[in-house]
Amino acid sequence: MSHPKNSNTEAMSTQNDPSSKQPSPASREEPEPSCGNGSLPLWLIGMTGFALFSAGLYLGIFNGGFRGDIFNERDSSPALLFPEKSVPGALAGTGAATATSTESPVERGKKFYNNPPASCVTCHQPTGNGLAGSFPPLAGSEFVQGGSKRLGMILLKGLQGPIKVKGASFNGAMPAWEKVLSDKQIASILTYVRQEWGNKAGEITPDQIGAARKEFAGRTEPWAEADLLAVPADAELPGGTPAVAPVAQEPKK
Amino acid sequence: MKRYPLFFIGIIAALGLAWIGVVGVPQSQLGKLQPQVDEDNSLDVYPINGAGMAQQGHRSFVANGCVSCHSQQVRGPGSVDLERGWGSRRTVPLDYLYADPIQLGAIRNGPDLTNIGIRQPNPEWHYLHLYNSRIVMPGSLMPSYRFLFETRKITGERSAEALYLTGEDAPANGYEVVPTAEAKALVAYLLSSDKSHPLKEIKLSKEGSVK
Amino acid sequence: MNLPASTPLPSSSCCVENRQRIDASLRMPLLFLWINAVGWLLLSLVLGFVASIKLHSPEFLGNCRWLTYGRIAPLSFDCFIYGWAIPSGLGVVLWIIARINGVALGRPLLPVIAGLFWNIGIVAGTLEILSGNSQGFEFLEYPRYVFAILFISYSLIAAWAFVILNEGESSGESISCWYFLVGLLGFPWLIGTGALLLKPSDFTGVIQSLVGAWFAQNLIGLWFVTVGLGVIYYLIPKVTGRPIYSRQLASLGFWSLVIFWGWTSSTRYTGGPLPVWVVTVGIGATILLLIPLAAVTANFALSLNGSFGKIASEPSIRFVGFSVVSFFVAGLMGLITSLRSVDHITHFTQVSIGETYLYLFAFYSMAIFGAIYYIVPRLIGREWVSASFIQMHFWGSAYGIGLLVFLLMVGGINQGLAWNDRINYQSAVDVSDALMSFLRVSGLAWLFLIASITVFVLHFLMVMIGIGNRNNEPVLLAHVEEETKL
Repeated sequence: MSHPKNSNTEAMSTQNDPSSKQPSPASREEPEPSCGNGSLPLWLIGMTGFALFSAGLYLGIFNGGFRGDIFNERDSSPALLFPEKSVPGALAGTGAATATSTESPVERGKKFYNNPPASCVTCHQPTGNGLAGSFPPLAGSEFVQGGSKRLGMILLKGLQGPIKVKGASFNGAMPAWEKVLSDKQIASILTYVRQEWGNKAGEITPDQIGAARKEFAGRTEPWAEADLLAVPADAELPGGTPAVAPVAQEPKK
Repeated sequence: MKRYPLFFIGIIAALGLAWIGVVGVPQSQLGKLQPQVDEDNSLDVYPINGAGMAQQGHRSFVANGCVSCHSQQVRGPGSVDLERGWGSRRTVPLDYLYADPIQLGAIRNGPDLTNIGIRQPNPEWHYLHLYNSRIVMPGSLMPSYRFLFETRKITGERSAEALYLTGEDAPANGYEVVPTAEAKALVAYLLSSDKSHPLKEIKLSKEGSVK
Repeated sequence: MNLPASTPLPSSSCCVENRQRIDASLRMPLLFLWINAVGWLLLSLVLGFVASIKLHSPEFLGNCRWLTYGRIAPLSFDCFIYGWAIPSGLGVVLWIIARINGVALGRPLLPVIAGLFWNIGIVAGTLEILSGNSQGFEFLEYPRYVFAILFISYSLIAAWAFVILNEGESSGESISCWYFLVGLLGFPWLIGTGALLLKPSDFTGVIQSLVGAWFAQNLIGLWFVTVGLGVIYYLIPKVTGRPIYSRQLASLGFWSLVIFWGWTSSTRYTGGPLPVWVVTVGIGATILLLIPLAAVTANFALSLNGSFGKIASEPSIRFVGFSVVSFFVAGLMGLITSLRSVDHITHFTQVSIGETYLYLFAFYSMAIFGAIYYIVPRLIGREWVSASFIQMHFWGSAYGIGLLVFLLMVGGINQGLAWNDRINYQSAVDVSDALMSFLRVSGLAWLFLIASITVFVLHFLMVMIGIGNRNNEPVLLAHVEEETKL
């Protein structure tokens, strides 16, 4: 009883008479769907084989031995496909600040200032102006341009509680970096900030930071402002280059 | 269905096998992980099931859907994660032994937070960042979480916990903004986010594995 | 039209009175399910729109705790899936199964009550997420009691499908019924092993992630893909009057999909803290999904061969045509982005969100719209009112989802390239700058979608109430000449 073929043309042919009752939607339908007997196209069989092959190959190469403790796909058999690469400086751990030996301490320090793990920039800002009330400025700071001892103390052990810098008060918390940064890294950061943003102070060497680490090895708590002020403003750590006004740099070892 | 039992068996087998393959077998491989203990220093156990504030902070992390923008996994040397200093090594299943619910993350609109406790150990920064991320990161797209803070009248002395806010963010005269317990818990959680502990037995990639 | 000799149909299903009896029995439950479902769809789209604004302007509605991005972004998906997609699909599945088997629904009131409880469950789940009680896994954010409500409501509706199948006569011949069976069984299976009997927090550590990924991926495969394909396998031959091209192709496509799809979930964590073999197996299985992708798309294309004009004229086929193309694109994107070399760029970016929208809206929802346009006149005995409204719905949705997916894909690639370039994009703020213009324009895409669905809702209401079309001719989108048959 169902109408075959295009029910649409049937319906349209009666539309000239709007008052006539249209056949109900259910009577205008095609029968329920059926399935033809088309055969699998050849290209599809080929594609199936290709997919099976590719998947098998991929699984064969990158399976990591199906072990629960291999996490990198290159640590799979066969090792032939992935000969061990030796990429200089590819070691993780130095973050974005992988230094090359031809960089100056200032360039190195700038990288560490701006990138993890130190990211000094997030608090002290790219301008070195810090954030009022929270993070002291480094630009024009009397601490930054003063003696290396106070700086070594601050960087290694951190600072807590209120502190006055350039006449303004700050109540942030400077983290301790002794476990995260090496002597070389701390020294280069300090060297960088001491000559940036109009600051005019000399280089700080890794030996100096090493000396500070030894001197304060027993200290576990961050410093307070009083501790810093107890140290003379121009106190230097041993092992540095003689403090001179900015002139030609001494050749470094 | 009486008519086609084979069909049903096929479906159930297919679905069941997939579950076994993708969940069951990994569970058998990783289900019995134990924290590693340093023989020389038996106090050095990793990971530790942190309780208290960090745990509550983790719940706040989940409740606010932070995982919608932040991941908590460090990929291996083939990726950019280590170069960006998000960790000193990749993360492995052992690191997440006590993460419940685990929030590995699938989208990075913001940086990875696995080791944020090392990268940004300054709680003041975190409080400011949560209150209005654009104070410490101009141009940041992170939402403000002012509802994690309380603006209250200063009674007597200004609270030591009060945020130092300037400009438009500053509260009205005589008022201060202090973190609620939830904010403190969340910041404690972030500060405790550290999955850099060296691994003893787990083999990392040939290319630059770091202990 | 020549019916193929291979599958003789029982006479009862050709009987018009029988069809009308079936339709009458399903009228109340289906209309109830669908009106609620499109309401949730609209809500989901509005939430998605608000979330998309917050992505580039975070202070927008920024002081309301309940509207923080991390809550409404997942909520938008949950309302879409549980509020719109599953109830609407259940309605379509019931109707198709009933029609194919020639059996009416015994107790129309029960699915209505079940649908009511389903809605109560979702309202509860929505309030839980908004108030911060999310469980933390994609598509699994609702608390367990909500899933218990959903499971019971679902079973009450799905049970009828099995009753009909049992009484019916020809379902073994129907490709649609194969797919619907997988969907009907798959959803309770997933809820049982992902949210009720077992859930991620019953495991420790990264296994939780595997369970969560498996749930999300299989929800797409075992419900969206199967029901969507089942609907298309029904509508194409039904509306064109021509058989599906090949049973062999259909079998190959069906079994390869069901066998391989479940293994692909671990690609969500490529590079993550998992044993490498788990991810490799996932990628291998995704490569194997090329088989059903090719088989199913070829079958559809060859079945439509000679009837392409229907895409222009019949609303249902218009939507189905869009859906078929989307299925192909979605499958292709899934394959390409799973390969590690591409994943290196696209992981953690908006690309994965774009893929989800491809499956959820561009493929599944468009097929369901096609089905609704076909079924509603049969349920209530009145045709749709206006071809313009249908055109607005179609083009609004097509442009909307097309634009949205395009922006997310291209923007996501930009985002990925920026993340990988730590020299030029040092901070996260730099990376989001690379994504910014795409995010801003995406608001337009959402507006298209919201507008198109609003038109659809209005049209639906008009038809239900009885406004408009008096002469009851079928609404066609274009007038085509009768085509010469091959």
